[in-house]
Amino acid sequence: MNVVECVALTKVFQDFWGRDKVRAVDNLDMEVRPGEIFGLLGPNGSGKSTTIKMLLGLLYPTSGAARVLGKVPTDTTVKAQIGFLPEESYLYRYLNAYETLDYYGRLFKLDRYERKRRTEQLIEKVGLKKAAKRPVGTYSKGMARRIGLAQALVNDPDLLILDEPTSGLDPAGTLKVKNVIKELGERGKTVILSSHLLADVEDVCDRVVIMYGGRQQAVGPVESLLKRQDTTQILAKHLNEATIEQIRSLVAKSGSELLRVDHPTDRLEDLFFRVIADAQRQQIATAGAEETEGMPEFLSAKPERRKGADLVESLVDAGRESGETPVMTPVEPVTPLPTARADVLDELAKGDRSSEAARRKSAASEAKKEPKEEAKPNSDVLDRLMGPDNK
Amino acid sequence: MDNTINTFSVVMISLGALIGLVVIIVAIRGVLIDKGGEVGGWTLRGANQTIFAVARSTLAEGIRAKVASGFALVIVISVPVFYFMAKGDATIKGRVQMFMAYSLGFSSFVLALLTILFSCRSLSREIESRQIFGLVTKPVPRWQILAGKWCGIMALNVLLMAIVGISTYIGTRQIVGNFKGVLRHQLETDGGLTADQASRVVAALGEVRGPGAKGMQSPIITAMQESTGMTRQEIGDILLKLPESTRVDLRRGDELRRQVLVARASVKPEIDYKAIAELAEKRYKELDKEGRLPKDLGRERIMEALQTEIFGRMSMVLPFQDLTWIMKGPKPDKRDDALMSLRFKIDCESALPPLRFREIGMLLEENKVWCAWLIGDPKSATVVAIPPPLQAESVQEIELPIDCVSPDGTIQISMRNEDPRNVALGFDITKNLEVMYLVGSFESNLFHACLALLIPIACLASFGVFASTFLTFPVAALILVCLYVISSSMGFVAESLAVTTEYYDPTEIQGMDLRIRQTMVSTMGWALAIGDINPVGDLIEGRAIGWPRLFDGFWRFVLIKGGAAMFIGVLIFRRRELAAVIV
Repeated sequence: MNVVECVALTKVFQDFWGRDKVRAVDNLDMEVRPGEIFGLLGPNGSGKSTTIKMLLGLLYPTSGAARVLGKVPTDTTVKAQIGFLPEESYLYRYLNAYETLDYYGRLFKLDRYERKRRTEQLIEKVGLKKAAKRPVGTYSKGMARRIGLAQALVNDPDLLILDEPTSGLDPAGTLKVKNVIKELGERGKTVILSSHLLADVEDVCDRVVIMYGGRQQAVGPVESLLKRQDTTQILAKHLNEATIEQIRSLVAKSGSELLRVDHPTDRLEDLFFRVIADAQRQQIATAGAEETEGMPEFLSAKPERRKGADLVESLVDAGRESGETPVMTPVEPVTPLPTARADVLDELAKGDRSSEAARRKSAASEAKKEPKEEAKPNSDVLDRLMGPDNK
Repeated sequence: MDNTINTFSVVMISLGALIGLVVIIVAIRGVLIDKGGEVGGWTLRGANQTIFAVARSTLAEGIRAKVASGFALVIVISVPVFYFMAKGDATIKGRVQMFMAYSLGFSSFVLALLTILFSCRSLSREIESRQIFGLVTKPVPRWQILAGKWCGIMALNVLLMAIVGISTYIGTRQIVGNFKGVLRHQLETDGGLTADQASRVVAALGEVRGPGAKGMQSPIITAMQESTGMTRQEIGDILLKLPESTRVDLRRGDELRRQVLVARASVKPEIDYKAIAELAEKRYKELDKEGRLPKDLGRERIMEALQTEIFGRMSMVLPFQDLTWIMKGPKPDKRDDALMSLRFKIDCESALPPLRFREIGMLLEENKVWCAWLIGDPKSATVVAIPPPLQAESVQEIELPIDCVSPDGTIQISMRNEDPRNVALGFDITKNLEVMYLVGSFESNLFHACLALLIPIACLASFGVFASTFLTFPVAALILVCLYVISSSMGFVAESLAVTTEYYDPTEIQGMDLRIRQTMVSTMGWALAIGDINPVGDLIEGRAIGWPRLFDGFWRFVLIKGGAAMFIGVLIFRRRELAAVIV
């Protein structure tokens, strides 16, 4: 049984007089299989959030139908198995992190002991331990996002629906969330995430649907969608002009054409993480969220399911078998679309500013603090941060 | 029969019909268009947990989000202000009564406003700011969300009401304590008593027994005499040295202790309305047979007049006759300092001129009637007579020993009309003939009063939660404030539409017009009633606010009316598309 199934799902928004105005989702057919990380991809206003809201029973379809875990989305019982992170974390400003998670735990009828256990583990996991006693209203957007993610996990859901999970997060936070999603996928959870940040979707999703104007434009495994079957990329250590000429003629001889020869550049994201890792190595304290390791133990794993990692592996293998041209292992990621690049730059600029602010703030607090209270260098974090570089 | 309908009625009826029509069309449209909505969720299992969670967060919102704390501050400040400001009729009794009336009355008004604002705001704001997304995507049926909201609002109200009740109690005790302090001081300085003697005189105030009497016969002096061992004359001399206001307060303070700061049952004669209706029906048939029915009046008006007449006979004592009423009330608390009092107002057919009894050379003043009461427990020999003459046309209250009430709460009252001027004496037995006696303590009565004050608040909270399921905060709050104001002034509305019995002129407004007005007022009164049973008025008169009244109010206004509002709210909320946007 598929976790989510949509058949000709349509949502039309009406004006005050009941006239159709906006066709937000148009005839969407979609299915999400158990254990996969499914991406809803599309520019702003393409119907991603509307689809998600229909899957959660926050909106009712104008026509067509959606089934979540075999039931209609408005069925209350089905919600016990769903975790949801809204587009923005709409939290109760007057509750602190503990109270927030405790509150949501109560809504799932967890007993006191279980609530305490999960709350503590989740706060640890999303790195909010130091800010846990502060009202959520005082949190930065990124911290609110983290507590939002924590509340989505409090019931150990089978299906996790994340609406723009990385919006408002700095690149480190983004990476963190992406890793959490991947880990959840490995534990056999089904994850649906929507994003307009292509890099996010590309990094974590097994399958994606690309939406535009409320309609489904493309759907399939990420790898197969991204593979450009008509071009081949060769990556080599430095070559001189003569060798390049030789290759050019060789290619010409085989009836093809050498399109471009240049030096690959680092992605800005990679550069960013190198800089942050350097800073952390120099033990600069931060007042914001911290990075932590491991998953909360209460989150169940489903070993009988194929792990996400295996799934990716098999997808790659599948691609190899069906490929007509010899495939080189892609080292460079596929160049993201210009719009997405702009977004990443925005994110980075924001991240830079906030980390700059944090650094200044921490410098101030450093004067008061004993040196032993400073954040310890976390070699695991460094490893993780360095991760994309090494891959 | 005059069927003229004036312009005012036409406009009002058209307007009402139009609004009603629109509401019905919108409601039918809403019901018919099946857009989707919550499926299932009517289970009760674990409901207490989720309702508690929502209630807790609502309470936390109330306390921390500064809405309620502002109102709480108003209450906390206002009670001490009333403590210092309340003067009443400058006696200690008046001061205590006014303090209680102000602090409880004002606080309940503030709480009503708080409830309106908070209940309208809590849910609709949560929907507006989309916090509700986090709630409805959890396995919490929507009825539990609404129930949790209501419980949270009421928890806040109960909390604040407890503060009000306790501070009112402390304030009341403080006023009495202050008076005793002043009295002790004056006895020492003006009266020349030693500290010990003064203390004993003050302590005697708690020991006063028996019905009040004037001057030196006062039971207060008797109590002082017993506690100090002085003679009546000595005590009288000491009291004369005290300021006039203190002497007045001695008497008023005793009234306060035994008649206000207690819970007294108020028992009125039982009226058999069914029998009256049957009699009227019989009389109508007789008149009809004889062809003596007035031509210009409808059946309803004639029946009304007949019933009034029969009712009058049942409450009228004809010249040189007597009438006995047997009343049945709750069991009395026969504390030895307890009192029973008879409260009555004698209505005379016509003005009574002064009359001189030549034989005994006594003058019966104007508006004094020669009639006697015999009051007592029919099963025992304890019968007390109130001798003539008595004042007519004004409310009289006469203190009697509590023995007049039998242990099961039965009282027999007889009145004999012996006035030589040959006049019938009547009573409005629905209002102006009652006996009051001790059944409980002030503390429990104050507690009951606070509970009674919470009834309209609970009803308003249901309305607020209901309104916020489909209206935005300002609209919902405005409607509810209007409702509250109109509901508190229904008497005025009835008066302005000229349908109160005292107010209408049957020659001017009659037929359809009168009926429409009456229907309008009764419908509005019924629809807008929120269960305000005026517990403060009763509390300051020392009347017991019994459990039956509380249960009745709770049942009608919290369970039925509030419950209906909540149920409709749940139906609306279950169908509501929470993330819907109108473009």
